Amino acid sequence: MPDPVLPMPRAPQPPRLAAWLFRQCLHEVDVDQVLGDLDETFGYLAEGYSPREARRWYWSQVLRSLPSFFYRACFWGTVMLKNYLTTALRNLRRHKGYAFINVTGLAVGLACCLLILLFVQHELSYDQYHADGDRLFRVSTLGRMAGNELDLALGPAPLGPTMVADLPEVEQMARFRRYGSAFLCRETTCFEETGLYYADSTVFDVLTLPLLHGDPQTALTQPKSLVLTETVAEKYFGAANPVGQPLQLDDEAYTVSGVLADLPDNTHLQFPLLVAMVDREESRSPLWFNANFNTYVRVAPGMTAAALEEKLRGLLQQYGEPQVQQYLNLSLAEFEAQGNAWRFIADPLPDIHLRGNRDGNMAPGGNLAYVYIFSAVALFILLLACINFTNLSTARSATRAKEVGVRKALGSSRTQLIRQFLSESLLMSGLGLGLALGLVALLLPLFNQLAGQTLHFGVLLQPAVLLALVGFGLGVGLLAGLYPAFYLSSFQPVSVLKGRIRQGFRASALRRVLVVLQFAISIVLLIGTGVVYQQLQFVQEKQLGFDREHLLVVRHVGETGTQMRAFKDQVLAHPQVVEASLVGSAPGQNHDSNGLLPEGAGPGEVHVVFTNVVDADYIHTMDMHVLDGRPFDDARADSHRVLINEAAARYFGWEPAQAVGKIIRTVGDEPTHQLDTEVVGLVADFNFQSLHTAVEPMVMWYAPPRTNRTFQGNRFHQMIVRLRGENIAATVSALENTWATFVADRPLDYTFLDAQFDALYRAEQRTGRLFVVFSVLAVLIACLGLFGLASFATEQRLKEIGVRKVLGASVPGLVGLLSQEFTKLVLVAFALAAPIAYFLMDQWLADFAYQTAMPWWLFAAAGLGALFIAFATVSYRALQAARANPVTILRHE
Amino acid sequence: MKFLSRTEELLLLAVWRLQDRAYGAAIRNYLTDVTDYDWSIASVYAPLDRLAAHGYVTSYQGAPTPERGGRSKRFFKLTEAGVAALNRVRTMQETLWRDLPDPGLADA
Repeated sequence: MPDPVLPMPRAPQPPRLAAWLFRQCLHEVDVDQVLGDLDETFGYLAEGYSPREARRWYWSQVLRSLPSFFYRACFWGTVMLKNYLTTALRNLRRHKGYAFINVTGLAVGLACCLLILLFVQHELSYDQYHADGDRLFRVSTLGRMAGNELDLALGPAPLGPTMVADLPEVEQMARFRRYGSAFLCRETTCFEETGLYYADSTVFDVLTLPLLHGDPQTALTQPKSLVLTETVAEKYFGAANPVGQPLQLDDEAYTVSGVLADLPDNTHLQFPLLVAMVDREESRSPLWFNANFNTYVRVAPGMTAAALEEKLRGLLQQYGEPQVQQYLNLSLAEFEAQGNAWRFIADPLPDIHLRGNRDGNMAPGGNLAYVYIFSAVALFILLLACINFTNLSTARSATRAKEVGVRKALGSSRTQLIRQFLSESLLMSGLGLGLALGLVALLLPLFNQLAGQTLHFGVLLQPAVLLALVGFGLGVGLLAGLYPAFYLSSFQPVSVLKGRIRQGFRASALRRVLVVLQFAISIVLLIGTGVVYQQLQFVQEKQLGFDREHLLVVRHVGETGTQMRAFKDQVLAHPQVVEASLVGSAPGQNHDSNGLLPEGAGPGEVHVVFTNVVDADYIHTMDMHVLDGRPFDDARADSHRVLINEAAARYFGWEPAQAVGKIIRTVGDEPTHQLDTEVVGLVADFNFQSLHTAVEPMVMWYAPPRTNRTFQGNRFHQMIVRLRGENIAATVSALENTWATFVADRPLDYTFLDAQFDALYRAEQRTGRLFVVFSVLAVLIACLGLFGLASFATEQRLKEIGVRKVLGASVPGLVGLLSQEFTKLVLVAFALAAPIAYFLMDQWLADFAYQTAMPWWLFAAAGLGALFIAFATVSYRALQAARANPVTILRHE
Repeated sequence: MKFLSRTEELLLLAVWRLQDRAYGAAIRNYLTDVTDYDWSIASVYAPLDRLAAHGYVTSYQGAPTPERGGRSKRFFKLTEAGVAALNRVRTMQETLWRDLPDPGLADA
């Protein structure tokens, strides 16, 4: 019986990971011999001591060797890098056209991305600079009164002072109150200043508003004192310190008590100057249900918005409830049970711009959705640019295959080739980044103008941002270069040099999907552009219910004082003037709104409508249509009579045909204001606001010739003048002369009504222009993608083309053959894009009460346009291939 | 006149001593035994490479052997210049040590 074979105890093995690591570090021929030495010593130690000890030793050997190897790797790395860069530069120089297209594509994508990033950064930077910003809140009001939803950036007058007095957590408060616009004069130098605010003297404590001149403790504490911003101060006083100097604000004497550094762009606080709050009687009003004050507070550390809102509920209960009792004879709970609401919310200061966009904001807020959408667009554009870059690089694989073959045959390792290709893409992304920065610098003013932004290029030049940009460029280069690098370096030298390019990489599904996607986006944007312009056109041509042509609006007509009627008569005497009418507000401007009690409504059922004050010539001047009753007439005592539009009749619940003769009671704080007025005429609906809204109810009051004001004290502010439409410039200068004989110290301030109406659509015009820019970009990027794909596919079919040509195919026939596939892709893109565009633009149009139709030809035009552009792109490559001599192509066979 | 460093001297002496068996692991083992200090493989190869660059040693590749995972050895051999450099050090040392006076430590 043979001895049982005992298994030999397995000899301990050196740690494989360490050996691998060692091999990675050492790119030398004798690495095997060194490893052999290590293994031998390992065996010796494992026998002499213990396998564990030996393993520990092995590891320590490898780790101790690392630094010196690392140094050597760095040395050779720089040598090789130089070599890589030289080769890369040579390659770029040899293929200038390709390099140009690729670098430009990347640069355009990056520039686009950077612009958007600048925009997003700007939007996010709003009000971040205030000291103790995390403890600053604006108290806003949400309410519902008689069915009207209120979302106000404002609080009632007593709110701020009460918070400081009653809540120990509230350290300080400051209120702003809109003043509106006014004439500010230094002796005879007058300018109209708009967007003025009253402000508490504590604003400089609560908010970071640095004073250049004057004492923040005492500025705005005295009545009739002003704080100017730097720009305004310069306008009136030059470089001199204006503190203590007199100014006239709407003919009243004020003193400058401080100069404020100009407000940055990224704050929602925007005003040219502040007026001391003590001048505003209303600031001491005790009413809790009347919100007119932008109220800012600084709270104790650790106080949250939710906790503050809880405290505010308590204050409302304590102080607001008695007032509800007094005026409405209801408890707060009953008031709310009737469907009303009134509550205060705390908006953190940095959130106001994007999240606190309420009525009565000090500056129009931003749109959080835009920030998200634009960020997504930026990411998308970057992705597309990277993919196109990759596509174009791989498309040249056929040309580069031979190079790879030769390099490999001469001993290049795959790693070296990968590095070579990566260096090339890094070089190109570096160039692209540089070019992108140049483009941004060049295009930023244009972009600012188009998008109505104030972005600064300087943001990009901060060291941290620059560093991030370089990292970004490197990242893009690596990301975009990785696939071509691995793909191209994988070629087998033998087959490549024999002229056999690897089979089976026809335009892959991914590439097709990308082209479809890019073209779909382009088509959506093209259709979008069309619809936006179509709507703008529609809006400009829509019948408004009055004739908007040749209407001149003279503002500040109140300056003529008691001479108003005389001024009007003089204007009418001008041969080019057809008609003129004095009004409170002109169509397209903001209108007052008032609460009224129409006949038939129950007590307390206050109807809020827009109101205007007009003279007897209004209907005639505007060329409006009176459906029933009559216009105002100076010969009759019309001062307690009103004109209403159809919308008002419907809102009051009246049959329009029976509206004339009905009674409307005015509502006011004082009993003298509660008067009955009689409807004398029904005017056909006319658009006095932008076409975003349907025609709203409107009640027009009459002011008799002698007093120039209605029984309620409403005055005429402007005069609408209808011109004949010839020699408008001469007419205007004649009107200016007439004005000068009445008002010596102020120039005639006028606008044209149609221009004023167009200004209502500034946001849409901006959207339209942005659409154009982005469509151009999208088409450009899509073309690049298509160009890459076409080059690639054509390259693959060169031999086929050669054979076909030899067999007698014509050049047009070949171009048609090569373009066929792309035509299909664009058609698929169109099929995808058309419904999406329809849906999106339908949403956009929903913002308008009056919408244009989306005509079918717009879609057809966008599709055909995309098809044409695609065909032009593809046929360039196809023509090149089809016109080549088949001999040169087939020679290698 | 440039002299060898002590490490270089030790390495050259080890190569001389080991003769035909002077390869990395053996040199390391010998030096570890003699100096009672744990020499790393890198600290053997790095100066040996430098010595080879100076022309004091040459190296040649040996046949693969099974106990080292089938890897070949790299043997080192002294050159004439190497021997001359060792001799210079030795002469200098002997000159320095010859007829040294009493260090005079007993009095203190």
